[in-house]
Amino acid sequence: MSEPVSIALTLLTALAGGTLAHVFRLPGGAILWALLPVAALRLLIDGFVPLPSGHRVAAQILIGIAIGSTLTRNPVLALRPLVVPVGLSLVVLLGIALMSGIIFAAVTDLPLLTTLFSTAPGGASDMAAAALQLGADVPLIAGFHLVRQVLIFVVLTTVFARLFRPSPDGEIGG
Amino acid sequence: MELDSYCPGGVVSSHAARGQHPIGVEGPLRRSIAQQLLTVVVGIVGGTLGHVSGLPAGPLLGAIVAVGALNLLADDRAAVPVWLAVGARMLIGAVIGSLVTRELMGELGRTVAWALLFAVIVIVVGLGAGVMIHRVTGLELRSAMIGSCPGGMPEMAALAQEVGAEVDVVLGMHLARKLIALSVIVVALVVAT
Repeated sequence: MSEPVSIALTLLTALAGGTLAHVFRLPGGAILWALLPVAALRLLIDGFVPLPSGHRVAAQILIGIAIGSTLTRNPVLALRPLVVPVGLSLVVLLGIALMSGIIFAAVTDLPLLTTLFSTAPGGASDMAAAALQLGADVPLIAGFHLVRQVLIFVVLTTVFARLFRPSPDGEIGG
Repeated sequence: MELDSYCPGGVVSSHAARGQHPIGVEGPLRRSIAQQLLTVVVGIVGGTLGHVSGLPAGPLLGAIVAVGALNLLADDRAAVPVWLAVGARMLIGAVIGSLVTRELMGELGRTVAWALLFAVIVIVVGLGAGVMIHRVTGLELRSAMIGSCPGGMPEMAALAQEVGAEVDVVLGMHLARKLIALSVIVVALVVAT
């Protein structure tokens, strides 16, 4: 298979999977459902090649645009009275994530860079995008983040929705 | 699993934070094509500069900083069409999927139990932090816990809306977590190299 054909088939496959995920709001979203069929193609059919580096740069820029557009005044202003406790909780969370990454590398034979990105409490797409050019095992990083996000999606959102569900008289639990 | 996943046919906009709509959607007619073009151009310029700079994750950080600055300095003017935000996730999914090998899948299978364990630890710590924030600041428990839960921002924003939590606060906490995690990693890499 020629490289242009491989690239075209890869992108079309991702487009189909991502569109289905978007339309049907599948857990894991467009990133997971683009990733899975492309990975399946790569594993099952000989001749598929990794997308060229230009695609990686483009993906990082597009993800950056999407994240940047969410950086707005009101959430920032809403945090002002909570800066110290939220900041402290983030320091603790990052510290635990850092230690988890170090232990993760120690108990497995995975590179430290990969485990640090894997346990960092960022988003799957931004952590994977950041790791793309750094020599880390990006599919593993994305896989580990998606494990966490799907776990939260399946378990915690259900628990929270029940725990904090508004009662019929308008009162909200929690 | 990102914010835009919940905006079919709309525009991902900065108004997520204004309480007008908790997941940042406005009708296509409400946002001009010029604003979207400006956002994309500013993002591409920032991302390209970041790429050229040679910083770790330069294209990603450059685009975030450029579009974020546009938003904060120009009265939340950034707007991203949904197709672009979803397309970005499709492209990153395609890039990652194309890097998968049999060896990596074997590695994932061998280590996924550890990954689950560390995911649970990070989640529990996040929830504990939410309870702490609730007790220290008096912020209502549902907002504190949903804001501290290290899940996808769109799911948490949608959940916050569903249960009547303070969506601005929840969004702010998730933004802070994502951006600080990314910044810490990049700074650590710069220092390490």
